[in-house]
Parts: sequence; structure tokens; C-alpha cells
Amino acid sequence: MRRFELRLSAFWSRRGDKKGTITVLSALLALLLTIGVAEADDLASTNGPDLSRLADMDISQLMQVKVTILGPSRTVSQTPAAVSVVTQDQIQRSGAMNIPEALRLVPGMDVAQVDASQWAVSTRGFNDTFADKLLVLQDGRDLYTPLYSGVFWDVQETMMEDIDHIEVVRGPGATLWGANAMNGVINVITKSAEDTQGLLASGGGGNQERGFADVRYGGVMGSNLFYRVYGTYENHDASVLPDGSGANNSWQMARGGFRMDWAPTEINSVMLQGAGYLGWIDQVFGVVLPAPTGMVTNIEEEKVSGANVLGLWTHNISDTANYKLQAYYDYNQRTAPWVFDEQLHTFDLDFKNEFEPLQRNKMVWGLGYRLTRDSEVNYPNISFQPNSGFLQDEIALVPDSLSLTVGSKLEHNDYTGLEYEPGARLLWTPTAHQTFWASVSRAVRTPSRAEETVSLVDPNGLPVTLVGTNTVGSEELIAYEVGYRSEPLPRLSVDFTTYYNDYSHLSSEQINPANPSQLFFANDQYGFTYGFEATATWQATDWWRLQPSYTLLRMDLKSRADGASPPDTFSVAETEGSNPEHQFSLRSSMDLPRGVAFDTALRYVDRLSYFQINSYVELDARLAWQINPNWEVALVGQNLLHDQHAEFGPTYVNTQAGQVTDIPRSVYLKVTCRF
Amino acid sequence: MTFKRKSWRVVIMLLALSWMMGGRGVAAREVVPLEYEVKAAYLFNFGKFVSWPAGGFSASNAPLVIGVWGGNPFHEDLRNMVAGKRIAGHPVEFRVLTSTDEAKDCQILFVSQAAQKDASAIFAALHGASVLTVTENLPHFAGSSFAINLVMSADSIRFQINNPAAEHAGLTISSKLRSLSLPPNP
Repeated sequence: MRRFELRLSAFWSRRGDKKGTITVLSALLALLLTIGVAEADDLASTNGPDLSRLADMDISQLMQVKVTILGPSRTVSQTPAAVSVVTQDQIQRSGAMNIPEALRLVPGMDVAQVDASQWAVSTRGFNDTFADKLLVLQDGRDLYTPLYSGVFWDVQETMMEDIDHIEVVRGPGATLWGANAMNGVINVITKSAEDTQGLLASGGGGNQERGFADVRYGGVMGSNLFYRVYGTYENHDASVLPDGSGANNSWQMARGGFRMDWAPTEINSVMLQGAGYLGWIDQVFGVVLPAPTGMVTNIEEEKVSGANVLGLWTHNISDTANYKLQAYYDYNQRTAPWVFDEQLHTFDLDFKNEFEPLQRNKMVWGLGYRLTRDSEVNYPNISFQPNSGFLQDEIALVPDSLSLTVGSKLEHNDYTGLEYEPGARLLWTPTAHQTFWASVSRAVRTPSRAEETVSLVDPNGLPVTLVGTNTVGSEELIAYEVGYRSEPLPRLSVDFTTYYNDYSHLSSEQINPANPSQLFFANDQYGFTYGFEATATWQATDWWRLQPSYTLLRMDLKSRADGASPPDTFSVAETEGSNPEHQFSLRSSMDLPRGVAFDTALRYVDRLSYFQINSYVELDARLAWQINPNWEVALVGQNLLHDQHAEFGPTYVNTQAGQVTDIPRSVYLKVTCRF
Repeated sequence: MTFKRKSWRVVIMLLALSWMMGGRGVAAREVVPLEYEVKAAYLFNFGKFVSWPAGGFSASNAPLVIGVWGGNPFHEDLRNMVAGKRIAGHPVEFRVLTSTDEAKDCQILFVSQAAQKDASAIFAALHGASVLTVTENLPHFAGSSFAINLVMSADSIRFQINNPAAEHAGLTISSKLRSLSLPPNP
């Protein structure tokens, strides 16, 4: 039994006549690879005891069968990639207030809080507030902004109780849809409205979380149309400066939304969801005002707002064949007077068809279309060249089975031309409790809007301007990964991954020889990274679970321009010096008598030389009491070991005039009721 | 155009790899956690220890229907397990329910943990019909309307019996089954 994955994408702008060529080419390639599949093997070993044997057992024998209770690892362990799943239960028990905090649960992720409202989130290096090598999705909607191919995390919150799970894939090429999944993919999946029935209200506050409240109501119309509506509000205090004074970056967010799940017939289902948000985020910016005032440092209230609506229609032809049609519209606005003013509209349409052309061979193919339109008000600090909208088409074909995945993505875009992204994944399951996998894949990251068109004045008042150029090219990666998962004992599971990533044409900043006060984006960095990610889950007793994790990351980058005149001496130092070499964490989850749950998470993060931030150890803890099925009280402490500590520094758009701000200890109380 | 020599090397490598891998592999099947394979076997076995009242079956050869409400954690396992099997002369049939109205057509009904919120709608639809209701990991089981609760005990799956609820549905649970059960928690 083989698995082939073939993904062909065409990025398109204006010249629609070439679409036909790509379609034919993709169909031909798919055909070639499908022919290579040959006939499927017989059903080999199945996991666990033989089914017919179980059916013949009597009750007293059934009572003796040992069953492991380690959650979803059994399905995950069949995946030939570095996949982690964070469940709703784990999110709740961690006390996470937002998605970045929930991602701290994932081994191999690097999550650093920059200031009160900003996070730097990446995996396998290249972390930054503007980290651009991760694809982040929520229910099929892209969360990253095409402006810099990164995520504005401050506006991505949703009701944490309504997240079903978060799926994280580290490494490239493991995704069917969406661009720029170079170092990983994060997929936030919310619960079906059927699973969020009734009233849920929660609220609380603390020293850093000044106050928050969530309300959700779920109901049913008729027998098969389920819905929920929700609203949330949060008020966060500022981070602090090294001397302990406030950093003037407190913020507030209000959000509301709905989701409907409707199954009019057995074979058709429709999902419709929408959300809107409004936020006020204080930031300290270095602002260039018109002459004669010039450069001043101002506290600005950045106003953010947005709305999105997404519909998905699923038509099941049989257990193994279906059609899916999804459309969404997303609007985001971000305004900081005299600094930045952007409006962004995205319209996206996707069609997907899954079927089994041969027995036990799954094939997926699809079409995608995306239109992005933005408008920016240009200020002396940050300005953009106009862009007439961006259009993208994609075509994908994925024959699917379990053990071998070979595929490719083929895409075309206006900035860099034709890109080819092949990959192969191999899975070997010698016994029911062991899995080996290996992969090699090539990935590219195409330049973002900012790299092409930005003009950014150094906010510290230095006479330096960073400018985008239309000669900037794609970053390239060839990644080699090997992984092993095992359940050596009924209560113990382990997961190891090691990788070697070979990068070329990485983004860099180059001094313009003709004008030394100007930096422009170039592709002069190259080199390799390698690392090791290990995690174990040990169910020590029925009521106590332990999860240690360790992440090693080594980066060895060089710049082709380090011998140039003038040399690039800063790109490598910045890229390498923004990532911890070692990370270690230990989580403990205890179910105590009388509905009491006690969770702790200890983490060690290595030093970041670029920001001169020392290594640190921090501790989060949550003590919760489920008084009865309706009421729960939780006391949560975050970053308990220090009054304040720094996790990351600002880059590009320097808030607080280039200063690293500290994250203070946070304690909050939360009351939740469900009816 | 960024068709580089490097990328073609990768393609050749992939093709070589796919050729080398010919004929090896592991079956693709929906992986049912062992927990639910065992629970499927329990559901089938319970039918042997329960007596339904005269009106419990429409005919002496009518099927004994095992229904599942609220998602099907058994995938195809339970269907395969009961295929061709008979209990007291009744052919056993497996059904995934799509509406609570179908609940009263079952002899055994499994309600997963995720679907326990639907309990009141299900028991309203059952209206005292002779259906053996089975659920899992229900905390306040003794006070509920469910007849059997599958629970985790150490490493294995055990069950609790709520006799008043079974009697209310007109069912008689054999003393053998009761002797193997764990005491119900209040």
C-alpha cells in the first residue's frame, strides 16, 4: 500500500489564459505518479487485538483487556510528519488566555511574548515579531497577513472554550492548502455548534488581566440546525520597563461571532460562521511628524477592527468520497495615527473533491482562488508602493494512502515566476506501538508585500531607511526529517524528531552602496539549521500525567554579502541571535479528589544573544475546582518565578524606541458556569 | 523562473525513493482506539444478558438493533463485529442514528460521552421504551436514566448497572451480569 501526494498550485495574476496549461500539466503529472502506484498490498497487520477475537470474548474476559488511555496519540502516530495536537482539555488546563499561550504546550514551538500585546511565534528558528515562515489557519481561513506573511496575534483570539483542538505540524510540505508553510503549519479548529449547546459564561480578572468576560449561547432550531452566538471582552495591563515602570502598552479587545452547523439531509451539511472584533492597543512609537517638529516619541492608540464570514458546504457521496466547497471573506483594519494605516480585504474560494479511484487509494484534488486588496495611508515612517490587488489560483491533486507520500506543489506568482516544491514522506509501522517516518522536501517562501514595497524609517531617529525592492526573490529550503514514535509501556508514549534544513537565498538587509543611509531587502543569507525535538507523555497514575519536552536548535547561517562593500554584518547576527538553542519544559496534570485539578508547567528558554536576553526558567500553575457540573472556579498564575522577565525584543517597527520590555508575573481568578 | 538544478536532483531522488519502496507498507484503515474496540465487544455481549419484554421486538425474527447516537467512535468495527451474528434468534444489526426519533427502534443504544448533553432529548423520545441505554464515563450515573455506564478502572474497561433505570425500561438484567459489575457511583 503506497501513498502518493501530489500538490500542484498555480499562483496567478491577470494572465488567466495560462491557467489551462497548468491544469493539463498537473493532470499529466498526477497520472504519471498514479501509474507508479501499482497495485495495493493486502491489508497488513491491524492494531490491537484481533476484532473477531474480541467479539468472541465473554464479559469477564473483556474486563481483563488492557486499554491505554493516552488520548489521541494513536491516530497521530500514523502520520509521517512531526505533528502535535493540543486538545481543548489541555488548553483549559493550561490557563492559556490566547492562542500563542496555548501554543506553548507544543514541543518544538518557540513562543515568546514581546510586550503586552505582541508575540513572536515560530518553530525551527527564524523567530521574530514578524516571523514569516509559518502558515496559520483557523477553520480553513488564513490568519496571516499578506503584508509581511506573518500573523498579527493580537487580533486572532477566539473564545478559548470553543476551540476543539489545535493541530501543529513542524517542518515543510505537510499541508495541502495555503502558501508559505515553510517551517510549519498551525491549524486552529473550533467545535461544531452541536458540541457547544447551552449557556456558558465566564469572567474574572487579576493584576495583569484587568478584567475579562466571555458569554456563549448554543441552541438548536428544528432537529438539525445547531447554532451558537458568543461575545468576549478583555482588558490587559501593560508590560513593564526594566526599572519596573509601566510600558504604556495596555490594550482592550471586544469580539463577537456566531457559528451554525446544519445537516439538512444525511449526505449534505452546511457550516456558516462569522466574527467581528474591535480593539484599542496602546503603543509607544517613534513618530516622524511634519517639519519642523520632526522625530518625537509618542504614545499612540492603535485601533484595530475586522470582520470575517466563512461558509462550507460538504456533500458526502459515500464514506470515502465527498465534495467540499468553501468560501470566505475577511476584512482587517489597523490604524495608528501618523504611523500606520492599513485596510485589507481577502476573498477566498476553495473546492475539494476526495474519492477512491482504486481500492484503498485515496485521491484529493481541488481548486483555489484568492483575491486580496489592500490600501495603506503612507506616513513618513512607513509607506507602501501601491498594489493593484493580488490574485491567486491553485490546483491540487493528492493520491493518498498510508505509507508513502510523494508529491509536489507547482506554483506561479508574479514576483518570482514558477516555483516547484516536491516532497516525499515515508511511514513504517513495524508493530502496533511503533512508528518510524522520514521525509525530504523542498519549500519556498515567496516575498511578502512589505519586502517588495515598504519604506520604513528607523524609529530611533537614525538617518536609515529600509526599503523593499522588486528584485527580492524567494527563500528556498530543502528539509530532511526523521521521526520515531513509540508506546514502550501502556502508560508511556515517546516522540522524537530530528531534522536538517538547508536554506538558500534567505532574506537579508543590504546597505545600498550608492546611498549608505538606505538598507534594502536582498536574498544574501544561506546556511543550515538542524535540531532535535523530543517529548514523552507518562500517565504515572490514573490521576497524574507528566509531559517532559526538549527542543534543540542550531543555526549556522552565512551572508554572501559579508565580504561585500559595505559588508552585511548584521543580518546573520540578528537571525541567529533571535532563537533559543535549548528549550526544556515539564508539564504536570493532576486530577485530585472532589473535582480539583492542579496543573503546572515549568519551562527553560535559552538566551537570545541578539536582544541580550538571558536564559530564564518560568513557571505557570492552575488550580481549579469543579464545584458541581455547572460551576467551576480557577486560580491561574503565569510567570510566577520572577517579578518580571524579558522574552523577546522589538524588530523593524520599534515600539518603546527599541527597548526590550519585560513581562510581569500575572495572577488571575476565573469563574465559569455552564447551563 | 527558479527551476534550479538542485530541485531536479530532489525530483530524481524522490523517483528513486518511490521505486525502492515498491510493494512495502502498512494497511490504510480507520484506526479505532483499542478502548472502543473493547466497548464495541461489550455492547454486543450485553445483548446476551438482558431480557426484553414481549413488546420489545416486533417479531421473533426481528433484528436486535444496536444504535449509536452522537458520532460513531466504532467506525466500521462494531458493524463488522455483529455481521452475521444472532442473539436469541434475532439477527444483530448496527445503526448510526441521525435523529432521536430513531432511538425507540433500538434494543441497545450507546450514547457517547460527547453526546451526553442530548440525554434529556433522547429519554424524552424513548418515553419509557424497552431500550437498554448505555453510556460511558458518566460522573453521576446512579441518579441518571442510563441503565449501563462503561467506565475506566485501572487499565481496563468495566461497567456499572443502574437497576432502577433498567426496570423502568421494562428490562431484566441477568444476575450474572450484575455480579460482574462495579457498584454505581452516586
